[in-house]
Order: sequence, then C-alpha cells, then structure tokens
Amino acid sequence: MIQTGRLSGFVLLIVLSVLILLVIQRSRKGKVPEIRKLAGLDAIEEAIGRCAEMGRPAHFSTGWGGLSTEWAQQTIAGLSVLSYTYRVAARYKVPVFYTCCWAHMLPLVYDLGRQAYLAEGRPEDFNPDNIRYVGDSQLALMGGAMGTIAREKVAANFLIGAFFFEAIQLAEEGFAAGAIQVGGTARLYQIPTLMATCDYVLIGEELFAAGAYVTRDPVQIGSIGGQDLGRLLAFILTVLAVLSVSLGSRALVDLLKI
Amino acid sequence: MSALRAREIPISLFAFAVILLILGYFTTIRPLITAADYLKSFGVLLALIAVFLGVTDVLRVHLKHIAKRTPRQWYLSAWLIVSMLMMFAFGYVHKPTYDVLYARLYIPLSIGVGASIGYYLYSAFYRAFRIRNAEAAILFACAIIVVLRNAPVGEVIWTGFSVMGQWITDVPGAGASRAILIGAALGMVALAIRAMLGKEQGYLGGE
Repeated sequence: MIQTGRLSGFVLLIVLSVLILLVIQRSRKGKVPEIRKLAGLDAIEEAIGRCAEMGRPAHFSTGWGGLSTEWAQQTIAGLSVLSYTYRVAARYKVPVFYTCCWAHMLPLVYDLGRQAYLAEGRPEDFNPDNIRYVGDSQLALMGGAMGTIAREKVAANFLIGAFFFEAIQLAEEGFAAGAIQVGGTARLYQIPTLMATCDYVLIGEELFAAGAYVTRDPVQIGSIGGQDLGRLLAFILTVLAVLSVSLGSRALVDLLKI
Repeated sequence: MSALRAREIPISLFAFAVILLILGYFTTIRPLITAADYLKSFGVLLALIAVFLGVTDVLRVHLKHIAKRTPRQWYLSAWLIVSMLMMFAFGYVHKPTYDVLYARLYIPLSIGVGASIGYYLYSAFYRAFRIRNAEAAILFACAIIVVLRNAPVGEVIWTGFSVMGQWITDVPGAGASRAILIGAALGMVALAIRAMLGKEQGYLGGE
C-alpha cells in the first residue's frame, strides 16, 4: 500500500497536517498564535513609499523557478508577495515592472495584478504592459530583468521566489540602480547571494509564511503556529536520534527509514 | 463573476492535483501512480503550449511600441520582432542557417551574459565582507578559510586550512543548511494546506 522507505515520511506528513489543522481550528476560535515580525515584508511598504517619493518605479521577479517544476511552491509564495506589492503600489500609484520568464505564468500574473488593483479601487492604474515576458531561458530573464532595472531606474527591487544563478546579477543591477532591495528564497545555494546583496531577506520558511503574514488572517496565522509545532517535533526527533545513536542504538534512525 | 472565473475552481483543481501527486508518490496503488504521472506530463505539456501565449504577448507589447514610436524603444522592439521571426523562419525553412545563428550568435552571447556572474559575485561579496560588526567578522574569517581550503594555494600555505575548512562546511555549515531545509519543508506543507483550504489566495490575486 505504501512504498518502501516512504512510510515514515507519509506518517510525518499526516501528523504535521493534523497539527496545522488543529492550530488553525484554535485560531478560528480566537486563540491566534503570536508571530515574530518579518522585516523583509514590513520593508515592502517602505520601499514602495520610497519609489513614490523619488517618482521612480519598482521591479519584481519571482525567479526562474516557474510553476511546472519542483520549485513551484516557492514561486507561488513569491506570487502572494507580488499580489501584496501590487496592492501597496496601487495605493501609492507606483508602477511595478514584473519580469516574466515563463509563458504559463502570464495569465496568472495578469489576473493577479488586475485583481490587486481592483481591490484597491484603482483598476485603471493597472498597466499590463509592465508585465514583461522575456522568454523561457534563464539568460533571457537575466538580460530582460537587468535591462528593465537599469533603463527604468527602479527605486525598489524585489527578488522573491525560486532563484537560481540569475539572483546575483539581478541584485547587483538593483544595487547599481540605487534601489532598496528585498530578497527571499528557500533555495539554499541562493540564500547567501541574496544575503550579500539585498537590504532585507526572507530566508527559507519566512518566504512561505509571507502570504499569511501580509494578510494577518487568523486562520492563515494559525497555520504558521502549526508549523512551529512541526518544528518542535523535528527538534525532538533530532535530539532523540542523536542521543540514541550516541548510546549505540540505531533503532530510531532505522524506524525513520522505513 | 462568471462560473469559470470563480475562485473555487482553481482552488479545487489545486487541491485535487496536490492530493493526487502526494498519493502517487507515497502509495503503491498503480492507478494513482499512473494518474499522477499523467498529471505531471500534462503540466509540462500545458507549459509548452503556453509558449504560444508568450509569443503572442511579445508581439502585442512590441508592435504597440513600434506603432506608437516609443522613444528609445521602438527600434529595439522592431529588432526583437525581426530576430524572433527570423529564427522561427530559419528553424522551419533552412535548418543549417538556424544552427549557425544559434551556435555562432546565441550561444556566445549567452556565455557572455553568464560569464559576467563572476564579476558580479566579486563586487557583491566585497560589500558583504566589509567588517562592520562581530557577525560580519566571523563570516569573513569563515569565508577566507573555506576559500583557502578550496584554492590549491591554501594547502601550500598551511595544511590546517584544509581541516578547518572541511569542518566549517561539514559541521556548522551543514547544520545550518539542514535547519533551513527542515523549516522550508514545514513551510511548504503549511502553504499547501492553506492553499487547499482556499485561505492562501494571494497567488490568485485574492487576500
């Protein structure tokens, strides 16, 4: 019934899902967990405000991950932040350029932008031409986004999603344009790059919490509380496994490999 | 709002796809595995079909620039459309010319863009390694040791760089990486649950 070697993973997934659903249920009843401030997300409004003051646009990229690869979750999280950024930009009347490198994302981003501007009561300010499709190649993304950042002299550069080696070039171009930069990815190899180049960075899980954080919806915040219980579970399992292996027993490690 | 644009449809499709892919991955039930494989292939196919949408979009945006004679843009748009149509045409009509254009023009330009990463890395890490506080000093020291471990000259200067560099990579480096990975995996599960419940709608333009 369950594939060999995947039983423990399946059980942990079920346990984690149940924990998250339980905390969501608690949140619905009013017991909303406290979550720490995420400077990277709080900085979005500041960055858009700076764009408005300087009369310059902003640039957003969700990276090369796309929606048809294993990195789709990070792109979805990036799109949630894009939606929030569009809303803030609509309030401040700041144009946001989005460099799109996957054609299958175009309808989604058009709709997302339209809905965000509509929600802020400014549908006429949404300009679909600011969503720039550059081709499905990673190098096209690099060239296209760098060109936009340099030519439009953006005052804010958001790099949030699944990034590969294009991250360094996009961020450095943003720095050269004098933009305030907010980065975010869960790809291990690119986290140091964004840390080195951006003013604010969402690291790993912070990226996935972004959608919930910006809405402040109790149910969504509850899921982050459930995530913390999962982290506690992972911590307990790690400590127990280290102790048992140190004491000469591999029983727990073998159990986790079932 | 029409039925086809209702939020519930994409959310239901998302939930169906996630559950099917999870079951296809974990279980040995053959029909579920086959259905999950079909779904993955369908996703790739859909993405490929969307390329036509991309071409249409490029034409729409850049023809508009040409028609409006947008300053400092219209001639670049014209060049882009000519290049694109030329590659299309040669790809179907005369493959050898297409191959020459691809190998002698596109590839060298791509390599040029890719190679500039080295310069950007140096300038970015120069700024990152300016010692402004204790954390930056620790980061700088670790980076120097790991660089000297990887560079052949490090071993010549002092053999200890190899041992220290290996330890930094294997112990604190691997520990921190795993912590980030576990956190990210938990975040992904929470995001998937929120999306399946229809609560996370930011990616659909909702709140």
